[in-house]
Amino acid sequence: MESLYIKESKSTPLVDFNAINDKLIIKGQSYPEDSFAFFKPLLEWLKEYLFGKVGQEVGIEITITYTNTSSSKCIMMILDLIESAYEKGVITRLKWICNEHNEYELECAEEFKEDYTFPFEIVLV
Amino acid sequence: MLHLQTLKKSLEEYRVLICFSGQFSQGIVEQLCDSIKGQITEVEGIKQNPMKVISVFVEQAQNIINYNLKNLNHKNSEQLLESSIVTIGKSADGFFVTSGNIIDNKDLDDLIHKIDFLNSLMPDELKQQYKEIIRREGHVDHERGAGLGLIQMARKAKLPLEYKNYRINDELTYFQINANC
Repeated sequence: MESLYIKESKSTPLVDFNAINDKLIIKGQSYPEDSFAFFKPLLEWLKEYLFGKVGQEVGIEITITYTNTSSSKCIMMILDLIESAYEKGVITRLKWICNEHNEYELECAEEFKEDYTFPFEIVLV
Repeated sequence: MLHLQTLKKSLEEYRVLICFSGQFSQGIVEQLCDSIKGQITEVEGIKQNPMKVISVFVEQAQNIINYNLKNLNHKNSEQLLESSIVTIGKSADGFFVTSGNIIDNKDLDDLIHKIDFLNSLMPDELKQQYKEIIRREGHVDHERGAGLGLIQMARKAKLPLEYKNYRINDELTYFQINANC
């Protein structure tokens, strides 16, 4: 499967989904005009990719410095996909990276974490 | 001729740091976010995470953009688009974000009801509301109500969210909302 790479913009994060080394990265801020239009290809890619990874390990690294509410909904949909992949036997390891000086980022990460059972590690840097 | 100094003085009187009046676009929202970040870190003596102010600002601005998108076929759509204004300024103990736009009278009661309801909630109830609505709402931003954006404002700002409405005629009302951060 082909990797997915989207350059960071002012209102959308960097997306680096590497299908070769099984490392998926989302990094930056997210508040585009149409969040679902931005996240739709990510969701479609993840659905197909995770489906083929049963029994294998996938590393996911998320750094979100700011998100608007509609992007939060899309991020929740990504986490939902990870949760269902985890339930099907994909070994998902999520690291959510937060700036320790920014309580906003930590609050956001902790709130997402509450709703999931897959390994979800919050890393302060 | 327009007396700009009077206008500027008036903005200064209300301690407005940033103001944009006219039709918003995503590009303008992005530029203003950069500007807020710069200016809030510069204001001395006030410890405030600029992300809170940015969060409230983005939700207000995008609510207005979405409202106008939803009403592109409204017979007064031009008037709605041009009516938008957003201001960010200094309050006694932090910052305020106040925005206004013209809305259709038929949307007024629902909007007021939503804000009053959020103002009556405690922080953990607001969080519960947020989690409930984020699961329920559809994908297309401008087809939604202002629900999630308002909850986010209520969660990030100091309650209550304040509002005022000025009736223009039988069809339209000018609505403004203020959040203190």
